[in-house]
Amino acid sequence: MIFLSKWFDFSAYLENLKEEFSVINFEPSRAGDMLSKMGIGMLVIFVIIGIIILATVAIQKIFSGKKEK
Amino acid sequence: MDILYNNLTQFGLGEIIMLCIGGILIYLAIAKEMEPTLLLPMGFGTILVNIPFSDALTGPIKELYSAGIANELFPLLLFIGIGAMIDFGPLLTNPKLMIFGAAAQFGIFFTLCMAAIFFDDKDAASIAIIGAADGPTSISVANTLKSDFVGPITVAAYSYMALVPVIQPPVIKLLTTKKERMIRMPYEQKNVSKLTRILFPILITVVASAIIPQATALIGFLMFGNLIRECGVLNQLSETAQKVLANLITIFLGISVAFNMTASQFLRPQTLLIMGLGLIAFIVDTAGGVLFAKFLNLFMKNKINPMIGAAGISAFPMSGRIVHKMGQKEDPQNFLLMHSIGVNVSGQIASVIAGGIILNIFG
Repeated sequence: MIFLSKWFDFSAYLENLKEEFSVINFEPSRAGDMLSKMGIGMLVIFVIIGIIILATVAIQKIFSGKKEK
Repeated sequence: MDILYNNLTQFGLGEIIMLCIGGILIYLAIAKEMEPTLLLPMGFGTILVNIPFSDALTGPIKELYSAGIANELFPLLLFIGIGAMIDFGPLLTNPKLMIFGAAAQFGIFFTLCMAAIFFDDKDAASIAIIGAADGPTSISVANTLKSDFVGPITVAAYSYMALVPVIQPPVIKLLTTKKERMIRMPYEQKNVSKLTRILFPILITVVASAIIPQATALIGFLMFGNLIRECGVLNQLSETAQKVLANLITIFLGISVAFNMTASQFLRPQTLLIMGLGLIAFIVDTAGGVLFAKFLNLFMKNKINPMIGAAGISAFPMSGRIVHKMGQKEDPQNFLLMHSIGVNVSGQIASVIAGGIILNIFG
């Protein structure tokens, strides 16, 4: 019976749920604040990948050139 | 007789729900074959830790968590195995494809903006990294940033990786025309020298780590695994890394991540938000890659099939295969596989770099 009453203690469960939902923030302005970080992040990824592409092409040219000799 | 039902009376609604969730994860792993290597241990671990006063939670799972997850060791060791499995050949044939791997990480940063509306910086960044479509990266970044939501983030990352065949095709179809999907991309077989294959992982490690030192462990362990594979003198180590190490660490990782799957940690309204934001990350990743390819086509004489942009997410090799299949559906003579796999592999590199960038900004 104690086991079942724990199951049906929905009022306490709903109170807990209300408290949990109240903890969720909602600040739309923070999306705007993050835009600069988004821009920086994407720029850095493209720069790093760009350098890797150039270096890879260079390696392939150097070592395929040496092979022909 | 009390001993028979004393612990049973400690079961709450939360524990029962989590036992069901553990069962669902096991069902998805076995019946639907969705990422079984992770979802099954996670599902079973979820059951173990949600038994009231479980000694698995306070004993071995806690120890495994401290030994391998809290210090990011297990994801990094798994990366050695993953690196040893990757063949960069299709990518090295056409290194320019790597740019799509970069473009397809846009979902991470877009989700960062969305998640920041509801969560603080470290949790928003940890949720955003679901978009890396890479389990070890997600776990590693979320732990380093000491997020409170490692459990839901891990479940979201692995679940959506398994759902890539369901998520990507509608997004690709929405953003492309039939004509674009039929663009052929002839593949030129080029020999990639052994020296290039050996230098490539070293190059990536040095370049990425020099700019983003926080990415050194992530990218370094991945490339170390690849170097073991490509050097040609460590075949036994390569095989061990690909099979024994990867499988062993996967078992430990799956079951120890369950440490964060207790009812109190998982059954929160924020979990639903995280699942939603994770889905947004995957969708925007796909869209980012496709739209970038379409943008490049404005300037190119030889058009790229924009679908290959979608393969830039790290879900390897599923994403590459999906793009190839979609191309074949439109035109059975269109063979996009080598291009899409090359892009898919570059997505693995780019996602790890993105993880390092997130750690650099928020760590």
